[in-house]
Amino acid sequence: MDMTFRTPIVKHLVFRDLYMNRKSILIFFGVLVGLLSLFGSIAKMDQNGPNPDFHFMWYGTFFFIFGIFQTGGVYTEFAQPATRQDYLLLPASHLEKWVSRWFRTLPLYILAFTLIYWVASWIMNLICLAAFGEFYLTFQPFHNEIFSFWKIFIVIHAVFSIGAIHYNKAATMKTTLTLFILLFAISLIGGMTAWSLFQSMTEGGVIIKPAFSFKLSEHMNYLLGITGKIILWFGLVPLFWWISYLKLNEKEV
Amino acid sequence: MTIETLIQIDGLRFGYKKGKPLFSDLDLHLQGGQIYGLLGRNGAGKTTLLRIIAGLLNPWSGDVRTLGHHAFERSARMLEDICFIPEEWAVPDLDIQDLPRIYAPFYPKFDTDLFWKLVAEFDLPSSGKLTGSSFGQKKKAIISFGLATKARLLILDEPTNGLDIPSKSRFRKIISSSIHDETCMLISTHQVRDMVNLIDPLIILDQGQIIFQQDLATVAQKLRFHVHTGLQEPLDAWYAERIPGGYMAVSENTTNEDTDVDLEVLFNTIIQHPDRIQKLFNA
Repeated sequence: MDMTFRTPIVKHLVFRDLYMNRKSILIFFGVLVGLLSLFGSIAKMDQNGPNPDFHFMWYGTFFFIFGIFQTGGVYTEFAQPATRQDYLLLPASHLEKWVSRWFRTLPLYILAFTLIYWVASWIMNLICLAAFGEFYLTFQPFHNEIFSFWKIFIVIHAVFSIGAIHYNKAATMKTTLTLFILLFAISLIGGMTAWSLFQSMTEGGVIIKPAFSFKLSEHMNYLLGITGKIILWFGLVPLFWWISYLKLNEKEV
Repeated sequence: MTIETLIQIDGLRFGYKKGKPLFSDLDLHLQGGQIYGLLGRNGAGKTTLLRIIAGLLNPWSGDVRTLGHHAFERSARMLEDICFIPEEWAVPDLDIQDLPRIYAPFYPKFDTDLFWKLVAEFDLPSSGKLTGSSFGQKKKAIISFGLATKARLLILDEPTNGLDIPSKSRFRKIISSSIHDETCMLISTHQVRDMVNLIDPLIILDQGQIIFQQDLATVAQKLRFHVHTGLQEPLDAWYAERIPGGYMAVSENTTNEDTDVDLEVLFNTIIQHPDRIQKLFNA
């Protein structure tokens, strides 16, 4: 496996991507400003005063929708054999290619989206000022709610990165569908296993009550939450990124 | 100075469907300083072979080394020294002026002056969107870029498709002046008449095997290409093709006559008589 990593090449790969997608970026910015201004104006017309969660709601909605579509469609070249061939033959190592796309869809996306949303929120407020004589609500990017969105997006990004490389066409839709099928299958198997295990214990109306004096469920919830987060952040997310990198190595025309 | 083997394929097995190999135990060694012509019938696997060499397809088994690297690893060092111009390619939505700006940084040996010189030689406009150009113009722009990368291995799949008559002769001139000992060109084509005086040696791929790999001097030494006037096929001909006023025939060169090799007729002779040809050239 070629682990060549040259920062100037990674920078140039990112520049190339942004330059070649400059029209899409402008359209994205325009759509965001337009929709936000529309929703802001509608909300402003509401007599109940500004909704304090307005920006969290719309930031979260746009952030996840655009983010998922951007990550799922980051390897648009794979849709056609000719473009796939061009990308795979671009003289950069798989690591450089993977890092450039990772950088574009995660740190750069988070920063750029937040900045664009911030600008769009000011344009929305200026429109409200012109139309109604006052601002609607200013956007505060440094907030716990926003940071939570970023954390959740990292997990989503890791999953959609695999789909983006695995599927050649309609990667976002196919990954979403695969996730639904997987979750449904896991729930079904889990439910059936639990039912077959505990079926005999509940026969005759027996209810199992824990004989502990302290609040076990709270402790369990806390422990499970911590363990789950550790597994997710330090286990699954890097694993999914690693799998997507390996998939890029194995990609064929 | 020793001439390096730039492509080394040993025991290649590959196919698109399980149990149906396209290549079984294929061996091929190509050296620098040559413009190889890869010929074969439709579906013989020419494009597949080129893709395997470029690292775009993973062989089932066997060793494929391109410029000394495992081809399917597609290492950055290998890709910097390869220029693959496929038959069908995607032209980026760029102005021709952007082409070196966006792509040249990936090729350390890229020669911008050479690129613009070739653009001028091909009579291409020095500005304007590539997507709005004709097929031939796009092809000429891609060929100019490919040659300007100064890659050691240039792989061209049907390069003259879509080129007009003056461009074809310019293409031949440019290609023949670009070859030197450290570089190798592999041209796959059906348009053999476009490649006269350009490709040498010749490789013929048929039924998953390299059935012929010889330089044209050896071919001229062993075979005689001659025009036979008359209504009857010449008796000693291995292969004869009807032409106005007679036959274009190929027979064994028993008289050491020096004749010009007709690539199309040679190809047909080899395809019709592979065993006889193999026997003659291995003798």
